[in-house]
Amino acid sequence: MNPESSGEPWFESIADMSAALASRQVSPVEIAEIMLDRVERLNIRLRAYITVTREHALRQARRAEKEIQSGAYRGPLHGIPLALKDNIATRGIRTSCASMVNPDWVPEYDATVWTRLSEAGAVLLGKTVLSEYAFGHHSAFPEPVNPWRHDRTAGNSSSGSAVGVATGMAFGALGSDTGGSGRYPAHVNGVVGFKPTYGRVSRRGVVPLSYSLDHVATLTRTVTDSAIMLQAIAGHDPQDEHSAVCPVPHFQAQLYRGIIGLKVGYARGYTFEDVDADIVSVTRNALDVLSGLGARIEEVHLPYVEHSVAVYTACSLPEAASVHRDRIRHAADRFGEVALQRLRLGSVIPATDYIHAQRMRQLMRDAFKNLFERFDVIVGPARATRAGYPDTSDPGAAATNLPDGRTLDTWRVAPEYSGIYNLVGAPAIVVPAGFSSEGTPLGLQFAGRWFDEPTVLRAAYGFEQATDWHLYRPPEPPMDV
Amino acid sequence: MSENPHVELDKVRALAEALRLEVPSTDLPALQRSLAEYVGRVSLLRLIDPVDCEPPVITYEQVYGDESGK
Repeated sequence: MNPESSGEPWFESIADMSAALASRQVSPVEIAEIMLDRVERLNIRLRAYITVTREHALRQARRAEKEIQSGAYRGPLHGIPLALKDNIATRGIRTSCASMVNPDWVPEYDATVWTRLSEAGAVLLGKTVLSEYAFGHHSAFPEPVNPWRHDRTAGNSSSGSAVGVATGMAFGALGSDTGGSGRYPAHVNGVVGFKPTYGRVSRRGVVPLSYSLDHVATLTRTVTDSAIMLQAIAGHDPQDEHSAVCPVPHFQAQLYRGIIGLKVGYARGYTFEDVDADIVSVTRNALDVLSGLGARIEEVHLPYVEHSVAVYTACSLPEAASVHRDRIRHAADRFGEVALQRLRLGSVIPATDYIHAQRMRQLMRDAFKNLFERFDVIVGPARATRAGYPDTSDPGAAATNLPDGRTLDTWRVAPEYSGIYNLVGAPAIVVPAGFSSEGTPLGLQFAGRWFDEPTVLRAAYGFEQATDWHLYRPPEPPMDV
Repeated sequence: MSENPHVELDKVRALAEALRLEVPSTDLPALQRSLAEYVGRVSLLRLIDPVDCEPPVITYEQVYGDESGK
């Protein structure tokens, strides 16, 4: 397998396309039309989008074209076609949350993140497929197809955003990440998924799953593009009560400082034990790459991770049940089976468990704070598993049969690798790091201290630039998918 | 962590009724199963007593002390 350098415009990075737009080598309308045509051609086979906003996109593109031609260039997202997960409110545009509970909801307001991307000049191509309310599965909204292997999952829950970016149906996209929903799809689709610090990006207008765990995530093909998108959406929003009042650094400017002397920790157990053999190999190679770049690699113990499943469950499900309290009683028959079962469980978890788990998060947070005083970043697999089979199984199933023949505790996988950074609120990014023997992508995760996204991005960028995994593209899908 | 304690169906039904969840009787075994799974998961957690804890949101000031930036 070799990295593709097709030169196709839809696979350009945001950084390169914005340079072409700024210098007027291409026009926003021209690129919007190319992208819309590509979406029309591929979406019927890959199912990344629920709603394609052709007219809206062309209107925004014409406006961007006029502004750029008149010298009013807004910055690196001006005229760039993007996609939004369909739980992000968009004024006048259907926001379904991939649910039949309120499938034709047309918000009267924009989520803050979309307001900010619009102000940066971005063009909205459409709204992407997700799991029902970001945590279930509804047959009316089938999961996108993994473009690398059509019999494997495209990940949950921001799968449409990840597939769209991986296949050149968008230059970048937003997703949400409550327990890894932005980073897991990045892992299985071979793109970059970034969840910044809790509070760094407003969630106003992003339909909540679990208040204290929800984050907005970026999906891009490069780390630089993640920095560009984060720059546009970061910053205090008084309409999100958990939005942090803090300075917003220039994320892209700090990418290029190199990682010589960077203190990198890895947890041996979560990296090499009970982990897919191909992932062990990929992660070992990644540690060698980082070491070769001058990072100081040391083994660490990740505190309280063994409790992350219990704490995550006791926090997330009652919060989700609270969000959907009325719908559980009055519209239960319109939920998919997975979401409904989880919501009912969340409804009967005692308040004392919820409070106890929230207090446990304080212990976790303090322990990670100590850890990040000794290490700049923690690196490890994005997950212990490669892309499995699509998630249409029994929602109560406790085991997953893996493509490598092993059986894994389903409940364990997400919280221990991804959800732990939602529980403590620290920033974490997944970047392409290799492939399984079956040809499915595998990701590497970097996490860092709160509000220190620049260091997390810098470490990820150093690794990305020393490898070529971010340059591989999935094959064009055959017509019979 | 993964033991599966017995949760009686009658108690699950009574709990659902008390909370006015309106769970059809055909759906009760699924709730019984997931509740049993949950109880098994959190059993160890209950042995830990986190004292003097604050809300779990971390602030910029707690990390850097002020708002001067990096």
